[in-house]
Amino acid sequence: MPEEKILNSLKEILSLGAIQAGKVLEELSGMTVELRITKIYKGVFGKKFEKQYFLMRQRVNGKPFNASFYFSMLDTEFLKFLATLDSSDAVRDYQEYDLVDSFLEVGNIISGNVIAVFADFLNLELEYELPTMVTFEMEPELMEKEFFFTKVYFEIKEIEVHGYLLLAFSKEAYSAIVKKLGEIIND
Amino acid sequence: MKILFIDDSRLSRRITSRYLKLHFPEAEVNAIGPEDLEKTLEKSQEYQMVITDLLMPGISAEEVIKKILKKAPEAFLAVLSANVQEKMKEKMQRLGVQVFLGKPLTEEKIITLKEAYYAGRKNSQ
Repeated sequence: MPEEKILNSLKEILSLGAIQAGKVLEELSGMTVELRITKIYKGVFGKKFEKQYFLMRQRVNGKPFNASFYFSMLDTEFLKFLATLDSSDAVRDYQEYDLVDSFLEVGNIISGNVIAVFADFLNLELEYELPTMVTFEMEPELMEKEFFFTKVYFEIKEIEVHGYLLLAFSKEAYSAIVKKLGEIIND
Repeated sequence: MKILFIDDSRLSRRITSRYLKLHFPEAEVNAIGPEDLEKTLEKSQEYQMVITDLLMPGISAEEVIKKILKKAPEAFLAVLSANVQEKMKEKMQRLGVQVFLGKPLTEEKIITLKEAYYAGRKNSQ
């Protein structure tokens, strides 16, 4: 199958995931969230983005599928977003522990929903590992291995928050998806 | 009425407790992390409803469900999880979970929970 066709199909699947992530953000914030997915890129993820991003890593396993999904959100925008979730008077009152906890929980909910779109599409049962907060430096594979990734632009007009969600997934995930696409086309 | 909610995330415990108190005003809501699971489950007969997350440190999804069913077999059991795969929902249903809700909890989902809980009580009377 030509790579361009595969990447387009992948964009379709990821868009379904992004729609789901958008619904989740709307449910969490109670506000209108606009999400736009850009193209799918292939490359070394860690070389494409600023190193100050916080990342949440969610690994999933399932025979024959092992993959890592990474989720990130611009840090300052994320702080503003968190303030809408828990009706906290001020984000500055957040303790560091709470901030990490909220980042992981929101990331877990978004990536959990996106991964489920993939799992249902692939007809697999994936085992989720605990979400972990990492930096680029802590994840050598991000600086070495090729990943497939996309930037999802999000905007919450009511509170003038906009930023990007970054979603990256491994070549193994890509191969499993290509295989499934092949089966669907051949059916 | 007493409700037990188990989740490792403090954010989730805060948001979910608030929803539960709003929709079950007569209920006493106890939100705990997995570290308090063992000692709380010793008194689990006191709870009419148990809601649990599935992805928590130190305990697998199946283990947590089996432990709750063993200690609180009479309680109404619901799951609130970000792992919303169809196969996971089916597995939980097979294990005896009465309602599976995808995170985050919303107004609509809590109404589903409430209806299922009261329908279950009506059937058991």
